[in-house]
Amino acid sequence: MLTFIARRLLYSIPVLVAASFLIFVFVALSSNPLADLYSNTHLTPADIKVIAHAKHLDASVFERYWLWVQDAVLHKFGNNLSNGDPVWPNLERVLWHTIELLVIVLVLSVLIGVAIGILSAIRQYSIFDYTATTLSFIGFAMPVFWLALILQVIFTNIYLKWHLRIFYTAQLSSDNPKYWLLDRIQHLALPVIALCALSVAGYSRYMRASMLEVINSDYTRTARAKGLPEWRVIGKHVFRNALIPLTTQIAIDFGALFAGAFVTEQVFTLDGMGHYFVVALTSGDPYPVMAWLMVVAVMVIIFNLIADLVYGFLDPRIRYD
Amino acid sequence: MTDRLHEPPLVGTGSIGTQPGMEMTEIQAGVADHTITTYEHGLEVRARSQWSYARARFFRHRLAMVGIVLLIVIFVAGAFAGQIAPYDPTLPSADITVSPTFAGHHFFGTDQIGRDYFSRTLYGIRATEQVSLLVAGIASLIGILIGACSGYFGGWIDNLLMRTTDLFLVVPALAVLLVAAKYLGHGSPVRLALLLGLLFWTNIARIVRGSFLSLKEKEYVEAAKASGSGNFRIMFRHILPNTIGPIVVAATLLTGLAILNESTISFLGFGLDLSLGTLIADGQAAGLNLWWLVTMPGLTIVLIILCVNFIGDGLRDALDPTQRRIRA
Repeated sequence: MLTFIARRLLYSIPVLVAASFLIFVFVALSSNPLADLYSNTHLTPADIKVIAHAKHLDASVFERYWLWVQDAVLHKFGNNLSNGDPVWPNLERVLWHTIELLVIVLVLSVLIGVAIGILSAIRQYSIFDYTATTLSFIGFAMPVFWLALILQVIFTNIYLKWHLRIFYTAQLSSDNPKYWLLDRIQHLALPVIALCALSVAGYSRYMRASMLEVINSDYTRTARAKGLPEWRVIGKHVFRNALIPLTTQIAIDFGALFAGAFVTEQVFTLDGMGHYFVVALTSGDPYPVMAWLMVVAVMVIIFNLIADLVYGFLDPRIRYD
Repeated sequence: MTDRLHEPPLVGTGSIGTQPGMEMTEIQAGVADHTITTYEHGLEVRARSQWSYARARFFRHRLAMVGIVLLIVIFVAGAFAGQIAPYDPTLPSADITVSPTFAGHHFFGTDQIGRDYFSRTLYGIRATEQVSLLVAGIASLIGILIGACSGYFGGWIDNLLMRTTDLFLVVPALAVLLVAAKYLGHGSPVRLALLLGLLFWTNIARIVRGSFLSLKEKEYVEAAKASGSGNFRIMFRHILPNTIGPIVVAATLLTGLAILNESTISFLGFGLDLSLGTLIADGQAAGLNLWWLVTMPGLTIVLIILCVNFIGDGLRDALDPTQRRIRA
């Protein structure tokens, strides 16, 4: 098992290097982090050239990439080229905010999605099943940012009309809240609902399909034939086996969930990774953009590894060696 | 050696009799569409090809038919936006912040400087439809070429495909798209479509690769090889037609994916100047009490993607009966 984890991590290193190099070349060649300085009347073009030289902006892109690798490994991603702030403290803060959001969404959407999927499968073609199917079709068709915005519109208008504060529609927390937890829940509720809607639509469909496949399998018929009570057939034989393909799907969908969190944060102006990336990209500075990409890539790799380990736990036939 | 297999089947000239076996399947397939076997006067049986079965299955799929009719209406309205739109999409007017009404033809209302949102939505549909159709075309083309080569030849091109797929598993596609769109695609539908196409070909390539891997072992490929067909001919005349079903399904669903991504990029401000995503962003900036500015373009996106997904499901049922109906 340990060798499996080590090998998986080692395999992902070349992919990380390739991805980082491609993105670095792209950002570095096409943008100038010092663009803002040209509007500064106190600086002559010669001054800017000196600054650019000090930051190695006039070096070749390969040298710059190598400098960035050194900064990333030795100095926690170094300092922003545009304003000299260290990259890591800001990135660390937004990273935890996004992880908070993603963990809540993942737990909630898996629980709800699995529950809906099971109910739809054991009551196939019931009213509940049809309703769930219809809703999930609509869920697939909705851009996340639009759903987030609609929630924002509804709750803003409720507040404007009746001065009723049910959920906050922007930011992560108020200044000096009375009850910190309640305040946080009020802030995170709408982003969580928007993101869950998308994931629940996918997970419930997937769970339903894999439940149906197991229910119609031979060993389920055997379990019924030997007289097991229905709850035991479903709970012990069907449910656990149906979870296996779902695990793979959740791992594959993680990228989509992250992209969803990205735009949701932008809509609700949450101080998270998505917001950070858009600001970094707008400034044209490769350092925060690259640091962001590396952190996200590592997150995705770790998440896929966890999914693989859960997979082994659900299906004892799988051996890691 | 001449390539007899691909000459038009010579029905009734004795070619079936003189060369049995190898040519039978091809000739039967070619003729089956038109053959009418007469049993008795007035009692005729028309032999049906795979395609006519597929067509019948598709036309029986009610949701897909609803989807295709609605989508055609929406796309035609978008294509003729210049003729249909009741107002100029960029011209401010005195009718500021009108909520949706039929009276002044402001079906989707107007924004804070009086631009008619119905007209703007029509132009937005036009941009969205250009981008999505181009993306489906570009991605299918690249995907078919690379997938076919990688499945048929294996080797370095197969490696390239699988490693590229690995890359996109690690870096979120949206981030790559935003980085690229900021510098390359700004404001131009064609360039944005190129970007999306260059990113989304991997899915189709994997499907084509999978089909090619199994189909290249079939007897008819062996037969074509024996009769002297070149690799190129085998790949695109013999194998490719048998993978068309899954490709069409994937390309349809890709159209929906392209629309979602295009509107997201535009919403974040890195995409087009006037598309459905931009309209929603404008609506948000105008103030959340003008709810229709956000709602109307968004509902249009939802409707388009619902139609595309229904059509995709119908096509899957029609063309790809072996595939299970899982929407993930």
